[in-house]
Amino acid sequence: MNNITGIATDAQPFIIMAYSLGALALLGYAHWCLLQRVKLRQLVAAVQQPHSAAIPPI
Amino acid sequence: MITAEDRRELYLGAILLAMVVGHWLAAFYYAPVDEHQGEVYRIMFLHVPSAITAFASSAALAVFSVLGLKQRSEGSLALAKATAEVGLLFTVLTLATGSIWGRPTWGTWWTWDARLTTTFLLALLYCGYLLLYAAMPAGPSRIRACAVLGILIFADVPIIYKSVTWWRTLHQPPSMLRAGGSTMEPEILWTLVLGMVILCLYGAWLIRFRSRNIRLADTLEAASFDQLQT
Repeated sequence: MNNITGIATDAQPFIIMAYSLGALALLGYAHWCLLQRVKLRQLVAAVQQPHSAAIPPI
Repeated sequence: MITAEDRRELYLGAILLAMVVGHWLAAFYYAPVDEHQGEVYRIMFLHVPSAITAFASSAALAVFSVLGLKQRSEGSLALAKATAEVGLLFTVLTLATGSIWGRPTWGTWWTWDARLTTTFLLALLYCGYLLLYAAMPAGPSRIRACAVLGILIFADVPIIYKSVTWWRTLHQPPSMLRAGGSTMEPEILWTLVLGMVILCLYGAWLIRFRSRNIRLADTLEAASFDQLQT
């Protein structure tokens, strides 16, 4: 079985599993933070406008 | 809606992420095969830097907690909370990659070994910190309680480090910081050190990025409260 380094190994599934998990964790958390940042910026802008349409006055 | 400041932060994150990818390529193509473990040892280039970043996060959490106790500021608490989240992320990644490495090497996914158990305890402590933060209302008592727990979490790191020498364990003893120096090949050693530096930098970026979100959420809460009063 050829692995990504071109060297035959039985360890390939484990290496792929570990690095896929690593990529998912590092990218996933950053992506979640980014989506949250966009949402928060929108909400802060909406709330800072007095009596805005987004959040009507109570 | 993203500001110019957010964009600069994202560029920095993208550069650090590219450095992580570059390090992974070095782990696959530059580092030689280990004569004892074969190819599977390449998981160590992710596992060890993740562990170091998790431990560095707990040190940073202790620093932010001390600052929080001194200044009584929500800013330090936001940094501490973001650090606990990032610390938990890297601790779970350490446990998961260690488990994946353990299956072909030790023949088991998990064992209640001293190093593994104390690292699992670190993950539980980070969870406890986040639960405490979520359970308490904002104010000086939350800053104080979280700060005390944040300092206590750091106490687990020396126990994790010394666990392989204090108890009989399946986990190997320290292979970098050992008497007589490391026996690793220079290519392996430097690839590992590079990975530690890059992942710690990426972890620091994640902490900064996330803590600004927490501060924004605080601003939103304050602004919403002001609007309710008008």
